[in-house]
Amino acid sequence: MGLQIGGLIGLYGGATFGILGWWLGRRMAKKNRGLDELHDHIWQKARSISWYFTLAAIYILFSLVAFGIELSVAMVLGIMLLVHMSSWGITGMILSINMNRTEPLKPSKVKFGVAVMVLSLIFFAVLSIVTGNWWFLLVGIPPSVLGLISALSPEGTVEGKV
Amino acid sequence: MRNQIKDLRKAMKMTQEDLSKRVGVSRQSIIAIESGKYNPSLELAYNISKAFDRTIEEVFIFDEGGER
Repeated sequence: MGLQIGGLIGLYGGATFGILGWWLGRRMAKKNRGLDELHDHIWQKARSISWYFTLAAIYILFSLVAFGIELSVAMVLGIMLLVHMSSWGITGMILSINMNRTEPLKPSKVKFGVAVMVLSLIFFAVLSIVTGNWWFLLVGIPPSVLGLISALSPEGTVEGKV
Repeated sequence: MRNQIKDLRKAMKMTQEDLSKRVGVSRQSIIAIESGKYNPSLELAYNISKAFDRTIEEVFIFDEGGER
């Protein structure tokens, strides 16, 4: 197996830009006293929830192997990384938006939106693995975006608790 | 957990931003605590109560149900 320059650039370039973005985000949040206990609570909860998605991805990938589909290490690690990071980020974003609103998000809409996102991601990932065509992953983006919009769209008027 | 933050804040003509600066957290945290979506730590609850010159029991009222 030869050296994959593109893969290395993607791997370390992605990590570098990711860490840079994370550092800049924290710097900006610090100016508005944003690195407080609520911030810790939201992102710890998001990381905890993202492990459930990663667990589901591991089970699905194992099932594919059990059905006789050959998966490369890079493919499996790539999907697990994508599922873990995206579910961490999206869950954190949903929790942050929910905390920032006067009216809470409707739990049933959030569950529906997240389910649409996860199912479309899994469906198109499996389809791309089975067919060997990675373009199917791109087709999964529009339903995921629709799911996200559905999860974050406000419901009608809700009476505040206080 | 219910709280009297909104009423106390209005009585003292304090904005959410003012209170957040006073206790050293983000405005988002004050919004979340005020609306009952997040229960603050004992330390933050103490600091909020101190900002209103009240005791914790006067600002936060225990209510079955927890976070929304």
